[in-house]
Amino acid sequence: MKLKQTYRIPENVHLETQQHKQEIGRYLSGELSEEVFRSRRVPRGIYEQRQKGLYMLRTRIPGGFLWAAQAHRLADLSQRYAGGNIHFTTRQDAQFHDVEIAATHKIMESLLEVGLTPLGGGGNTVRNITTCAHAGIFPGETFDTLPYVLALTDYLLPLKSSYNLPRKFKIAFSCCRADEAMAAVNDLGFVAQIKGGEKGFAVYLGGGMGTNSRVSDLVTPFLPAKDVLRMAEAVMRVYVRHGDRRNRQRARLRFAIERIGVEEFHSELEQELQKVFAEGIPDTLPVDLEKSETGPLQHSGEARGSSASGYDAWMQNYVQQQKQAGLFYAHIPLYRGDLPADDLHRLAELAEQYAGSQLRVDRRQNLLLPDIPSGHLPSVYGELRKLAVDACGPEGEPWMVSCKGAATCSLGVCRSQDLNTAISKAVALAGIPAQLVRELGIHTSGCPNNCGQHAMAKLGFIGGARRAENRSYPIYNVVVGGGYDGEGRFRLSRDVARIPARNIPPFTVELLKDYLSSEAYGEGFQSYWQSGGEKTVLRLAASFSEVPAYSELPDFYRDWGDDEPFSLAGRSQGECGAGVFELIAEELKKSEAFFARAAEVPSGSNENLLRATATAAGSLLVTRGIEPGNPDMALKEFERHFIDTALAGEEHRDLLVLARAELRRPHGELATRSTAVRGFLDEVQSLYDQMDASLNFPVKSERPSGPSENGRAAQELNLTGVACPMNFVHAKIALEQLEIGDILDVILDKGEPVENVPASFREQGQEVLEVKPDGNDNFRVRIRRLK
Amino acid sequence: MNLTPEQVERYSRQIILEEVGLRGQEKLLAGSVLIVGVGGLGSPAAFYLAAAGVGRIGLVDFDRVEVNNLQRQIIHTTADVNRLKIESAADKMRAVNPDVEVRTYEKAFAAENALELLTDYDFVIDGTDNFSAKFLINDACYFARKPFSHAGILRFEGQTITVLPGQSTCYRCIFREAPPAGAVPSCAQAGVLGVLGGTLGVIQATEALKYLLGCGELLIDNLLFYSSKEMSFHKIKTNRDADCPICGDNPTITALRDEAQIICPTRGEDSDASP
Repeated sequence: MKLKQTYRIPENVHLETQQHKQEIGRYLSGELSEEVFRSRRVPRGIYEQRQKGLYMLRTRIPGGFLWAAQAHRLADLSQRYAGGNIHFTTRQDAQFHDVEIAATHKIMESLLEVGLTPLGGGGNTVRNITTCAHAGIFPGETFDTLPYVLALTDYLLPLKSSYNLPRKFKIAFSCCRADEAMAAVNDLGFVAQIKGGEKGFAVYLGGGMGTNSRVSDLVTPFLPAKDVLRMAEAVMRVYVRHGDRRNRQRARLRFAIERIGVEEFHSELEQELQKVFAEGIPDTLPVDLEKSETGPLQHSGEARGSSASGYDAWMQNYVQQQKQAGLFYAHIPLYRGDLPADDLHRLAELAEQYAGSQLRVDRRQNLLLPDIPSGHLPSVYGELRKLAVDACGPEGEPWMVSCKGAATCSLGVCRSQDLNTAISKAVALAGIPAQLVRELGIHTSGCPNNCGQHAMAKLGFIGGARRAENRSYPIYNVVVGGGYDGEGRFRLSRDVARIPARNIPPFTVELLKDYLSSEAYGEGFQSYWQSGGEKTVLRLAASFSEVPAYSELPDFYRDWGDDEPFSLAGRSQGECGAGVFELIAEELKKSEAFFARAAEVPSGSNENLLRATATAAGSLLVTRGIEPGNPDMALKEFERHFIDTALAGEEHRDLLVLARAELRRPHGELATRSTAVRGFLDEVQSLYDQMDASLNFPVKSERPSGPSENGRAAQELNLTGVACPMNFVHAKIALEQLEIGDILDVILDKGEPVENVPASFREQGQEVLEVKPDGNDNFRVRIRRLK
Repeated sequence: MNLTPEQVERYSRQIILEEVGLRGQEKLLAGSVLIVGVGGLGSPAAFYLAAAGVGRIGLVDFDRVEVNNLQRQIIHTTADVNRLKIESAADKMRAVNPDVEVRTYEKAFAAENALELLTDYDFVIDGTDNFSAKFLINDACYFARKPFSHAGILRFEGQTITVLPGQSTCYRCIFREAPPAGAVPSCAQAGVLGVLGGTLGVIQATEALKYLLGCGELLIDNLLFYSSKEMSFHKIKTNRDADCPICGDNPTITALRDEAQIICPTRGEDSDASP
């Protein structure tokens, strides 16, 4: 398949894909535990669904740009492995749902053939880099940002550091004012600017929408476009240095910035940028897709009319003129971001036949069909009408945003998608034009994690739960007033009220009616809000806030789209960012709990100190690919991988040996050694604190490193006259009595002894420094104890 | 601990091993193993553990040597017939290796004394021949959190598994409870090829040594089946059972008790350490 290249797929992505295949096998055979497998698959964009044993695979689509051939492949794979449905996300990814684990690698391999990968689709990685879906075609854009998205993707994809950050890292580019808000809620935002004819970006840092949403800070009003890679590199480095990997809830860039201060962070970033320049990180070379052979077909004047019914409404609602004269793009509204694979095939064919052989995914989970020559518009309309989805309909739901919600997400509290449907229906039923819904762009999240982007919404809802009469019921917080103020400032939406889920649709209808009839209508929702809208919202909210008794209206205790009583069962800790750091942090927490309990309960002191020691020892082994099946193994393997290698202090060895003896036969000796246990726990914590993104630890500097410089004076053992293998036995015993790093000189007979003994030491992993004649037909063999 | 020159010489062939060395030998000499039943399985296990220099070995059995034992219980000789098995075995072990402290317990391994017997030992070898004793050993080892090796032999086959109580699959996770009398052929009905005790007993001794040394992978969460006719070994993966009556989430067995014995009908047919 010949595709115009957008970004390169580097070798590490191929390797990771292969590794995934192997690890599925190891996981299924029980060799890899659930936890370890999760930490491997999540950065590959593979999450377990609420339904056990079924997975979601999220593939990145940089800039939301898809060649028709890539769209065909997504459709094929979905038909084969994912129930024939594709889900598009607000960050321009495509998701396969209900995938068996064995099929995930087949999807990965197949995606690679068309230049797509789910790597970085989840976990603590650089996620899909987004931009306005209309970049390059929107008449009002500053300039086309897609080429920079692709260039940065190309740069970051091969970097190891892209896959082991303190937390997920989101980058967005805005080509225009309309989409500028998105730069405010990403970790790193680039907003296109032109200064003196030169392309560049206003750079924003530290935005985010999850819990503790934060609007980003302006780092520089103008970064020359050629410096985009350098800026991203520098930001990531400073983030890696200051990100708090231990606390997942406080690990995003915005928390690091808050912690060390905006000015401090920016000044460190400035220094890092200088270094990056000095290191020769290359200029950003925009990837120009306009040279594509499959580009625009013909440029011919005005849009053509058609007598087909609904054509004019479609043109008005969904079609926009491009900045390229004679070309148009059509919005393809999707129902909740979902699209049947058959429809995707047809859209891809449409794009090939009548347009520019490409599709775009936009941040409202809809698609764009760009590069439609005016003459082809009627044909496109005719074809769109044949889709299974209603791509030309009157309802406002396509303009609303929702996460997947509790229907499938294991974090979800409420069924956010079903709420949007209910709102959309109620609004249409009340005769309110869909146009109004489009203007507001209602955002709904099923839980406070903000996947529905409510923090930037003019009007949004956040799912939650309350209890009444010992029954849970779904409830939403109402947020209002988010967005871009058109003057370089971003506003987060404000939480103003709380309304039971059942009442959200009527509340929205009343609110929109009031807005429609207000004097401020036409000046925008913000203006309405400031000129009395706020009071209306509060009054409406109050009137809709009451929850009737279950016996009266049981519907209040059910969520939209669900016949069962509302329940939080099935909700679990999120898998987002499941990674090695989290695993270790959890274990260390347990270890500290045992230690604390040892002090509280004297009778269980020995047992708890033992557990504290073994848990701490086991915690770091995941970095060495070891799963300690039991405490004994944890202690033993820690000794081998951390003390023998001098990463942890030699002084802890006795404790570990003692702990293993206690495991076998408790004598209560650990109870008298709580100071040593404390010291060991501190050592492990300090190793964890110093662990870098590649899971490496600094070697203790006081360790002997050279034979003569640091090693103690060599001990000598004369083994002349002692035959093999007893000479080796004696030499080995003598070496074992030395410290690691120390030197032993052994005097051996010529012949068999000097031929065998040094070789035996080498085989057993010790270092033979030299073998030299020692007069009298003897040899002096100098050995350093390494383990 | 310093080894004497005689000890260095004696244990040299295992000190040479990378995984043993001086430290490993010291661990063995400081280690202890309780062998319950000095019969077909216990005989070879006791011999090899003594030879390897395991510092303290306990023997539990109250039977006396009979002529029909000699076909497989190789630690006893013709001259030992009618002697207590524990005394006969202790003599041979001390003769093999004077480093070893052999303790003998002329009693049945029973609910009333099980935990006390386990106290002084690091690892337990189940060399018994009946289900009630095997379940009692499993339960006692669970309460005392003592690792043990289970084995059983019958006709031409044997099976074995190592249990780290509370951490790995236990005997009850797999077999739940003793079968009703008559459901399983006894040794007398089925007979046993003498070498079976050697093969399985030596595997048990191997597990004990690995445990004391802390090297290799123990035979946990895997039940090993041996067929001498096919000359094949099969490992069956096992998992801890959340419903296990002793080590599961809601245990129903909370105290030791002696179960009705499923007898190997002719007493003394094989070593029998339970009442």
